[in-house]
Amino acid sequence: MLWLYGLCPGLPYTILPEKYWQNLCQLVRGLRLILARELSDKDIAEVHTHLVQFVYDFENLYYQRKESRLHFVHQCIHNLVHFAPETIRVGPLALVAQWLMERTIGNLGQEICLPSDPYANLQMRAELRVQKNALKAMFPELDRASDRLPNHSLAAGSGFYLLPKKDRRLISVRHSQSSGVLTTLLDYIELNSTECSNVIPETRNVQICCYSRLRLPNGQTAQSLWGERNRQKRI
Amino acid sequence: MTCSYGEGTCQFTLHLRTNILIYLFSQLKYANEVRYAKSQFFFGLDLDGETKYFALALVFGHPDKGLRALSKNALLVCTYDAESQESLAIVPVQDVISVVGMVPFVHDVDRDDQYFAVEKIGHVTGDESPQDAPDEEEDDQDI
Repeated sequence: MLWLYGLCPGLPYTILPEKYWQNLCQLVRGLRLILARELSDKDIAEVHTHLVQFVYDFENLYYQRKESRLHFVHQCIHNLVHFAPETIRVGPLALVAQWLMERTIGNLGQEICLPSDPYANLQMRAELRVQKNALKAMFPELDRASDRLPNHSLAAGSGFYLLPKKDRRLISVRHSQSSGVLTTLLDYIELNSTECSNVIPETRNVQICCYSRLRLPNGQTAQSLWGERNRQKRI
Repeated sequence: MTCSYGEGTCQFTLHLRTNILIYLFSQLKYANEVRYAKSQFFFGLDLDGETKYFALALVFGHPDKGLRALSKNALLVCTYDAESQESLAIVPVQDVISVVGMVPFVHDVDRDDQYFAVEKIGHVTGDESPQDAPDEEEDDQDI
């Protein structure tokens, strides 16, 4: 999915003829939107426009409406025109897609440890998981894995957390080291602080404490150049 | 999963993890717009008796309008100037929206400062940035 819906619009540009590339972009844009967990009416209308246009162009470009090429139009191509109406009917399709069940079947299969009686073992694994999930749903405080943070993490408010590596010393941003950083910092402080004379000392050196990573409320972790450089040095 | 892409001066490595798309780049709100940026580091600062937390980031330019229109918003190509001090910005951490990948866009042989955005499937928010970003050459006449 990442190769097709993430990288494909950028990599084959100027390699594919433009009409085929634009046809691909219609598909990518439509599916990127439809796979979101929340969609507005405007998004659904845009999805429908892109996907219907993609299917129409696909029929013109590839099977050219010839009966002998009808087998080019697979069910999955025709299915695209139903995505937007079905989203209105049952909600975001990413939440009801088949791959969730397939994933569950896959990782339950990986847990099988008894080759002599695999189906009984699979059934027991599934039963244990259902019991665990039911307990977590009834008592969310039991689910410690979801909010586990590294040691020395710092809550930054609104569900954001600064994660180590943390620089134990306060770093002095000096003119000689990186004047651009200092200038940007001083400008920001002067603009946003009512008592900037207390923040900016006469030496015009500002001391800050650096963190390398930021955990976002959506579960992603943003890394930083400073943290990655430190890690590369250790390697 | 690790894969390399690019040749010559455009070496770039994507570190794809199970739940994190790419590592250094973020999508954030900057000057009331959604922009892409490369995080330098995160830090806390005492302002008016209260500790606030910020990201120091190098902000990418606006997406190329022509390619954006041609690709129906599927391809957002931004320029990145690591040397420019003007692109350096301090952003409150609460304005960071998501982690994205910025992949070198190598189709113009004369340029090596272009990148296109790859967002995690299900986190599509790149369309929030205004398509009619400030353009000094355009007239203000709306009929």
